[in-house]
Amino acid sequence: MSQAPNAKPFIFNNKFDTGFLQSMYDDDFTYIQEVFTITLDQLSTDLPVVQTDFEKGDIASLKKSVHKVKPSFGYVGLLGTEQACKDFEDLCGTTSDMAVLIAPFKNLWALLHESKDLLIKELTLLETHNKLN
Amino acid sequence: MRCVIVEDLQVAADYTRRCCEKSGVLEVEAHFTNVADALQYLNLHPIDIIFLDVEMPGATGFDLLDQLAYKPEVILTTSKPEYAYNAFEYHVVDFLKKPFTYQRFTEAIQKLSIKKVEKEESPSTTPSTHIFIKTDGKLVRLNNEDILYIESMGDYVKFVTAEKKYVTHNTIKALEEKVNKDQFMKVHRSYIVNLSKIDDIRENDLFIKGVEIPISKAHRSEVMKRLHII
Repeated sequence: MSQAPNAKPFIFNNKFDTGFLQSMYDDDFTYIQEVFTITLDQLSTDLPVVQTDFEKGDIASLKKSVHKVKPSFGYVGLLGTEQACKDFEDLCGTTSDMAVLIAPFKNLWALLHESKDLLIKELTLLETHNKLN
Repeated sequence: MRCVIVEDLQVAADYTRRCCEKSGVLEVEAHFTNVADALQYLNLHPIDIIFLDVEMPGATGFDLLDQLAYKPEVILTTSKPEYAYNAFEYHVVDFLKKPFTYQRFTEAIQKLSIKKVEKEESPSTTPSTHIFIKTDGKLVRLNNEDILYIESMGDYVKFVTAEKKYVTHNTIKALEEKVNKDQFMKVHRSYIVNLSKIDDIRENDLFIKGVEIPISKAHRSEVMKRLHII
């Protein structure tokens, strides 16, 4: 948010919503790096909870843990992943049958990991960019 | 203006703090990741504004508002738009859906400033000596001095006088705003009492005409302050 005066632009992977990141952080790439770092740290705590809740078959807890990870993806500009979390959260609210959730959960789980891996790669690139600029 | 952030997501709390700092008008006094810690602090250190998340471990942001002994301005920060109705019920200043932009944040702060000015400019009114309640298909006048206490019954409340009990459709939360604050005080989420009718206080309960009324932990210090203890 505190715009770095001579910062060279960083080109984000197209999975990230650049316009949204710009509206949140301007071109403060140092702060974006910090946001990515904190988010990855948070996900390392929150994602295992999602997995545990799924394995327990506890739909109410699963809904809550997915709700918890949802905004993390929003803050890093992965709005598609954030929306997928919301869709799954909504689905949890419509059923008491865990069997209904198995396939959607597998898709979500794959997307969450794909997004996390993407974030790790992007953070590495961003760190390099920030060191050079 | 002094504010506190109650938010369990670190990245969201940091972002809100930065927005506050950038605004130049908000000083972040503390950040809490759960309701219990926030309540303990807020009841000892009254502040102007809370940036409040809703879903947190243990208790919700609304639980915090229910248990707080005073009413600061509140800006809700949540990723669930479904809470908008509750936000309206709790008279919050604004509802920020996470993640929000700085532009959206400044709009919330503008609303806050307008509300503050309106409060300051509103003419002081003489506290009313009575209220009218709708019960049994008519409006009944109750003089403040006749009301012993008001008790919650879900979506209804019971006005208790020495002579009679009146049930009407209302909530303690809504009434708290409407009763004469010099005379009445909320002592528990389910009770508003007429301070002049308290006969005695023992531990965490007060007694009015033999009826035992609980005092919640959050309200206890404020109740003690309001009594004329020699």
